[in-house]
Amino acid sequence: MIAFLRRLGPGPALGAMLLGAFVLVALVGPLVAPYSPTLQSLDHLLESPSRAHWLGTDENGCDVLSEMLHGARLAAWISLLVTTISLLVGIAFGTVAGYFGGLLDDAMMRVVDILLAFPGILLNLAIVALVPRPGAGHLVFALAVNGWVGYARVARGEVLRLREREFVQAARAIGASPWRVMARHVAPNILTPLVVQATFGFAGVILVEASLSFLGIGRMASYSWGSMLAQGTTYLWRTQHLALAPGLCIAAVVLGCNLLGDGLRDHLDPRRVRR
Amino acid sequence: MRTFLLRRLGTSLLAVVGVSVLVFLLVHLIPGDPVDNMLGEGADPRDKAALRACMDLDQTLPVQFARFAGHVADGTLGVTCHDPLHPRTVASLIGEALPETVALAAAAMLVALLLAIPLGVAAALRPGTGLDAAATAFSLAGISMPSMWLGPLLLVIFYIHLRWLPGPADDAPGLAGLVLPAVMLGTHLMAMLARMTRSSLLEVVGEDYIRTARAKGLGEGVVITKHALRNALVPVITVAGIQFGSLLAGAVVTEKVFARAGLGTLLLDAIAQRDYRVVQGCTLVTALTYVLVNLLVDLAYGLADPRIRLK
Repeated sequence: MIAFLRRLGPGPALGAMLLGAFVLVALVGPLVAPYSPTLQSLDHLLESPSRAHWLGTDENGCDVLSEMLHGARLAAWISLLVTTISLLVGIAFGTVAGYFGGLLDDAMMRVVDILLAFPGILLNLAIVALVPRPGAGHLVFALAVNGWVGYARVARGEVLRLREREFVQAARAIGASPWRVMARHVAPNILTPLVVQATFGFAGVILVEASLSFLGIGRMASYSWGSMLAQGTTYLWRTQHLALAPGLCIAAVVLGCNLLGDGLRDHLDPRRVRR
Repeated sequence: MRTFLLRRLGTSLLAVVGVSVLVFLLVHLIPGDPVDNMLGEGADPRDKAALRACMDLDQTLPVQFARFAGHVADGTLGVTCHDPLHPRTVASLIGEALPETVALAAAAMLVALLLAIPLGVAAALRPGTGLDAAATAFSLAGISMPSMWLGPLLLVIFYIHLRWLPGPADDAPGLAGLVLPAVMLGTHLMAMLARMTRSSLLEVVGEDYIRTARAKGLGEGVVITKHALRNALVPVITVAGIQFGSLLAGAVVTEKVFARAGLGTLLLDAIAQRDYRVVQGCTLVTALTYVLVNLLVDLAYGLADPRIRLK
């Protein structure tokens, strides 16, 4: 693992470290948080960082550090779920379309075109906003509804490339059913570019989720990073520390994904090296 | 050329129909009764029935869709139902809001292009130097910075502390009032385009015809501007064009931060009032603009590059 990161270069290694730190915080953060994220202490409102509150307190007297640590788990869960669901649906859809080709492919790709013609964030926003009491499930659903489309396109392109290769034909020749060929022989071989894309996709989900919480739509907890950023910016004229923590953390995770994604893509595509 | 045009128009038309169906289904796919969501479950049954009738929800699904399609076709997009005393057509509300959002998106595009191209070119002409590293770091920061953090930061610095530019509280700020929102909305695209310009120009500079241009004794400036950039910028401009639609959609966050009127504000207000028709109208209009812009970009691209048409 370390040797692999070294081969990728300093940028991607930094990206991997940022993402690793994020995963670590998401795993252990809530366990080591000094306070409950919803514990309000009304005689400590909007305090600057201190011994007792390392990142200060917000307008309700909640400990910002504890909120950030719990928020990390929330952000990680949502992004992981959305990315995984989108990836699986995208692979299945793209593989079937590319493998069978013909009219089915045409029809399936029109569905992709229509979803691509829809400005993503508006669709997410409309779905979450119209649900009476949105929960985490609705948010994941709304983000995955059009999240899979990009993966499906890449998967289809890869399948078209693989479809006529010898090992696929061999599998067909010995009588494997189309579904078996797709699941056992085609899909595993198209994963690499999709994983690279998922790295960028993960960052996208973090940003869109934060935007939705920022707009006050689909916020499930006061300690989601997007909601904290929204609260922080409301008080920006009085104190900067509230917006700083969530802003920096969102930026760091997104930067990590971009650095790692760039590195993986360059690593897999020799033509792009040293660009 | 004709088949290319027809094919492209056909795909766009299909996308428009698909988007309309999707927008129509939005309200119907959502669990729960829209009327209960709007008025609350304990509302007066007569009010509920009136609202149901106004929204056509007392009809069967095919009738509802026919009426929805009718509203789309006659250009009114239906009438708002949340305030029965002052009904307005959704189209008139959108007509007031859309120019604001288009102006914002256009300004953001201008900011993105004006910064991205020089930045990308500078980085590509001196690869591996400090300038390149600085430009790369700058674009990475632009891609990673959440815009809803950048916008308020810009406000605090340039509006509250330095007082250089007008902000949300100023009346009729004019063009100067567009600067900060445009920077907030355009930064992400700027960073993307700068990276594209850099890699595209680097690729082109390695081509044979650039060597030829140099070999025949042209100055470096002419080689870069006339031969290299012309080709390198084609994909950049294409992506910029396609991204215009995303700017329209992304304006919703910018408009909220800067308290600007526009399509995004209209949409958020409609969501708060649970006015489904306006939600449908806003999403539909944005999606249609999106499809239209993509179509125009494709056509322009096809005109500029004969090779595309043949595909």
